[in-house]
Amino acid sequence: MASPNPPLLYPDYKSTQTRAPRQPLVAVPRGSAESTGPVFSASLISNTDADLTKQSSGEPLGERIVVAGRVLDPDGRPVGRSLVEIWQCNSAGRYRHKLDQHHAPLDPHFPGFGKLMTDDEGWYRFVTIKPGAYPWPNHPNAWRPAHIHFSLFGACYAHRLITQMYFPGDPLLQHDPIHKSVPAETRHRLVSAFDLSLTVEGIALGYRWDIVLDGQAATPFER
Amino acid sequence: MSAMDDRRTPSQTIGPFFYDGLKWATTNRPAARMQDDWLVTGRVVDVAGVGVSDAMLEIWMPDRTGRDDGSTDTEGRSSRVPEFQRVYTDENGNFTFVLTRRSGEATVAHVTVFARGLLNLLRTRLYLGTTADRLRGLDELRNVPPERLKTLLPSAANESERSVEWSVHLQGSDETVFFEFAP
Repeated sequence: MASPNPPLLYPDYKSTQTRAPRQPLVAVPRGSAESTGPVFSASLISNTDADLTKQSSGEPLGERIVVAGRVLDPDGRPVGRSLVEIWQCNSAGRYRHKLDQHHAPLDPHFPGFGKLMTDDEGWYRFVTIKPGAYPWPNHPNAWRPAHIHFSLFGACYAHRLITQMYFPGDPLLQHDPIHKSVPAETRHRLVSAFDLSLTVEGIALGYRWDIVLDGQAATPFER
Repeated sequence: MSAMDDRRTPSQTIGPFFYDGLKWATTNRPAARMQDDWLVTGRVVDVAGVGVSDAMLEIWMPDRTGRDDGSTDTEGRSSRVPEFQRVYTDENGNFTFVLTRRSGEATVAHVTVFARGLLNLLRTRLYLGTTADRLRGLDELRNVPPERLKTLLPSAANESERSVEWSVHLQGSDETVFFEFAP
């Protein structure tokens, strides 16, 4: 079955030109090391880790949102008790990072990262602020569409995934080489869906995004 | 799984701004190493040999259990997953981690590399206590071109200090072997 993943070399995303391996990946059999994985204790998670609007003494600026969904393994089974980490820029499009030079304000009340363990049915739910778009130096007038970075461990080492979730209807998606590096048939899987049932009345809009992990983890060498 | 049911989520790059978000699970270089702990130092470099300053390595050693090496998160809590280490490269692309050797046999660290400019993670391995000739005899590595086996071994070793050097070459003539899982 074709890989859902982008090729490692995608010249429109400039950094791949000097960093993507040019030799084909080498196939190895999956052994015990790939069938096991780190088990993180739930005690490492704080109560406020899943609510990015509650990590400061004050309230962050921007549109509050709920992002929720299920983590599933390649066969569609829920992956429970599994670590999910997220990080993102603030509502103005600025990361709290010393190298982010975007001329947009930092929000003292929005660090922009969270983590949680999925429940027994594989569900996760974050409360956060809708991230802004921001410019980047890839090409003239380049802008990243609003996105949230996700890091998942799944049930074993073979499931490891780092990816980005996007928002429906974003006009920047068609201009973003990182998003467009993904094959056209699978690209839409990175876009969340507005979900009225996830909204918190009077508080926050809801977005649904399910994540299906890839035990194969194979990447096409060329497009 | 049929093609119609296939909903696997594609990968995207970690980007340059992951530091604070993922820092809680990074491991500090331990002050004291146990007798079978070897220090691995190296660099992640691009095709021009330039250090990659925004890379993250995760090291998975399922055999390295039952140890509390004192590694802590940013709030001082023990990371308590001794089989797993997460380290960042510095501004010159340098990294350090600990590999715990098993006596009398080859030890392998499963290393996953993430960086800005990598649209998917890269999986490689570092073997200790063995040679390229012996790796050539391993069935699991039968698909690795023999001349590239050396990228899975330390480039230098200091027995008395229990330290080795091993770098990750993302691209170029010394390109590290990266793996995918056979179907």
